[in-house]
Amino acid sequence: MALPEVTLTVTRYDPESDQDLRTQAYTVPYREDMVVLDALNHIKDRVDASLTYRWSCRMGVCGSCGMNVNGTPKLTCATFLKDCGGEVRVEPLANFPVVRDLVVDMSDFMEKLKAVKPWLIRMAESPVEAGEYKQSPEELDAYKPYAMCINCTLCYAACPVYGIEPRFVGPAAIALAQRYNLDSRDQGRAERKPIVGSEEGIWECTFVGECTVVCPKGVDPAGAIQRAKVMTTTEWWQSVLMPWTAKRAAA
Amino acid sequence: MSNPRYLLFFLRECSAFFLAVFLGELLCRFWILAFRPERYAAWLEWSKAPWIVAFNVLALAFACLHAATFFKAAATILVVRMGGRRVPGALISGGHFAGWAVASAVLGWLLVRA
Repeated sequence: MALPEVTLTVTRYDPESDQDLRTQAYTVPYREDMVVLDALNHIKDRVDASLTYRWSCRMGVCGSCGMNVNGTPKLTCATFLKDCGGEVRVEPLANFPVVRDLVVDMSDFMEKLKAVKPWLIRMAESPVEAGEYKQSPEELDAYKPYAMCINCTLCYAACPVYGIEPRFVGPAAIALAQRYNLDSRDQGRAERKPIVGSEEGIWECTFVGECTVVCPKGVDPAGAIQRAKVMTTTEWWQSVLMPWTAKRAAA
Repeated sequence: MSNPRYLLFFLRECSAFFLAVFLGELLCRFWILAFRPERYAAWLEWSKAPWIVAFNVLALAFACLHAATFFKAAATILVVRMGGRRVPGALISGGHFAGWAVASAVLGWLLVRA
């Protein structure tokens, strides 16, 4: 009895020989528990070893295998073929330059991630003898969702603003900045403000919300950006109407 | 536009235009009432034109969409903590919708009374 099969239409691009992206169809054996990554691995192992793509953990924690599946950014290790409705179209993540086949250049995202200073910033370090920086469960809850980001960049692929304005800092970087801004141990909000509060930062966002829809870890970057807007606006009004409070905080 | 969420976003952004035009019309009405009361009757007759009524119905629909999407967004944007726990987003949005209903009921009662 013939095994069921599924056809994947995969984007191919060899920078040394192709002028533009092209597609290639592959038919692979289908099992109900197969994910898209399983199908790509079957193609690479048994059909076409030249197919190039990123993957690692195959269990949705590393963020390496992000691709556009039927037009939607997904982790291919967490996307079942049975949920794709027949023919499966696999493309590189949108809004990023394509390096080869399904591999995209993420250097722009890496630069933005570094620019928001994603580490605890203290005005002055306490001596070791003073003990650890304690944090209550409520203080942890304040930033924990934003700490769940795995840097898969599905949010950048889904963001229409990043698609038309590459200078936009982007959902993941701003959410990570908020993760540290809301951390009770952190004192670096002012240092992050020039990039987060800039025109290319939170104010470029028009709250489409697709970043939150595609996020596989429930980070809610759209919510993080809107909360950053509220915080930044409140602080600005405070600095204008009650400037002495800002001077007192700085002292 | 094939993505329903993009379509909703587009309509949400468009709603601001209709609200702005409606507000402009309202301000004109108040100005005429305040400074040219003798022309208010003519303004009312003009307002009965089918295309004006249709525009106002459309503006009302967009105003409702604008309010509904804004109140839903409030659940994401407003983080309220009580007793050390975050108040569920549904309660935040629900509170906004309830306030909208109460304000509409009060305004409706005042208009009917008048």
